[in-house]
Amino acid sequence: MDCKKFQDILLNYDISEIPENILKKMEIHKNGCIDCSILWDDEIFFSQNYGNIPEPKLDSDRVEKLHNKIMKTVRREMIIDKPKENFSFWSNKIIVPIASAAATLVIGILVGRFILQNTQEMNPTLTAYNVQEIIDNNRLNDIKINEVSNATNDVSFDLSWNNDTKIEGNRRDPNIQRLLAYALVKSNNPGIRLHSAKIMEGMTSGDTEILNALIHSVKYDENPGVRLKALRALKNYSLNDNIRNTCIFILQNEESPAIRMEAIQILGQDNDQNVQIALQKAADNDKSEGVKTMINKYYGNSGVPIRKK
Amino acid sequence: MEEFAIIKRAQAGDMVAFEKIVRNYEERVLMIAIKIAKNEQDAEDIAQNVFITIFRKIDSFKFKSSFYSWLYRITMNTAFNHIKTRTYDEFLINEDGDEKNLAISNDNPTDISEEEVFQKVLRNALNELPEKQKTVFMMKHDQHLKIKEIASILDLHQGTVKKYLFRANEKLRVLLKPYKNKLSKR
Repeated sequence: MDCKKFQDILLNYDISEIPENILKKMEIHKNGCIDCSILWDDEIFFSQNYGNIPEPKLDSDRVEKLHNKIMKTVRREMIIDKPKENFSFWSNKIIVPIASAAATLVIGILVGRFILQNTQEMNPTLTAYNVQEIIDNNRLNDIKINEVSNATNDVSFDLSWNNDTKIEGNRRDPNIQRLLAYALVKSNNPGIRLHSAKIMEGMTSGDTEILNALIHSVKYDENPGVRLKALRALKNYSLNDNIRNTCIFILQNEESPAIRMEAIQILGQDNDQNVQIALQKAADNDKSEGVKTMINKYYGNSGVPIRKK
Repeated sequence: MEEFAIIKRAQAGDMVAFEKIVRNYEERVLMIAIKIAKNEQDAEDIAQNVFITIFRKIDSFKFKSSFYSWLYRITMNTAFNHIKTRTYDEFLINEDGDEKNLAISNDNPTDISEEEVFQKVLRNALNELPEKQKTVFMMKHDQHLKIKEIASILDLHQGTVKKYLFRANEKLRVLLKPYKNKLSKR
């Protein structure tokens, strides 16, 4: 038996698994080879002692915090991302070469046209279709909002995916709105999320994904400034069950009294029973006097508690 | 059987079921990450990334192995990739073989047995290993995986896995020498 074989067996199997006749051959080898003998001793030592090492102690608070962080990120993934595609189609041995050939042909034509036209443009402006495609395939690495014109409603973004490019469009354009929603939910930079929420403050959209993005930010964004801006953006929408439940959620779970007060303003004079119950509880138990006063302002007369209304 | 149903529901997009999976395994994943990572933040990042990957790939789990073994592979792969993203400089610093003081602090040494002291020393010695070596070493001794399996999970050549194991053994041997001698004299 040579060293390579000896090491292969020793590193791939527990000693208890090695058959007797092989063990004998290994024994003979290691008696004449210092390196393999040392390796053998190491393996015996670690197999005997490794299992006895005490596990690190985990603090239950730490696990709970991690759990919340994981679920928050997973929910964030869910808001914008479509269900994952099944890529088995692309693993087809026929489709892949055909697709590759077609892609090569298209790239060749594009490169040819590029050379012929001798264009200097390095960052072509994206079409609305491309925006949709980039978002759907989760290809965007980074997004920055550059300029917003309140007069024209035009927004300019710096996008980064395969290469860096700029995109400009009107914030009334559904694709631009989706880009803003994407930035609000997906960006790791709170400044960008805040900017995005601020732009969305002045608009409404019929797209439920945008509404969902705002609701998600209001509930789960870690930055209170972003939560507040997103909630203010929700103000533009007419009150429905989705927004109503979000405001109740905020009354019950939000740490910042300013945001709870904003939620009360959205609920306005709503007579929904669940809103009434949540407000009664807040009027009794909220830690902030400001919140209690505001509830009475909207729902009671001259500070009369709402339950007596 | 219950786990089978939970996974099936999570594959169908049921978030409650997915959260149950996270609850069932988050401690184990965090524990593995803590053993590999150099600091707490890294360990939490690894654990978080593991579950994001599980969320994205749960459709591809075909019940051909146990769910834990699938998750373990993802955990080790995620941890290893996390380590790889470190700068080369940091890697070089980790690779140096300076002798470290593995003694454990204890105000009242008579409280713990020699066996316990040694186990703690061994854990400290493992923490001194560069993360790549530690990952491979753990996979071998925790899960009794073969070189070929480790290489496949971490996307490495079998020769590289062996190299990491040899280096880990070598370093541990040096670090533990004084304690091993003491242990053998008992």
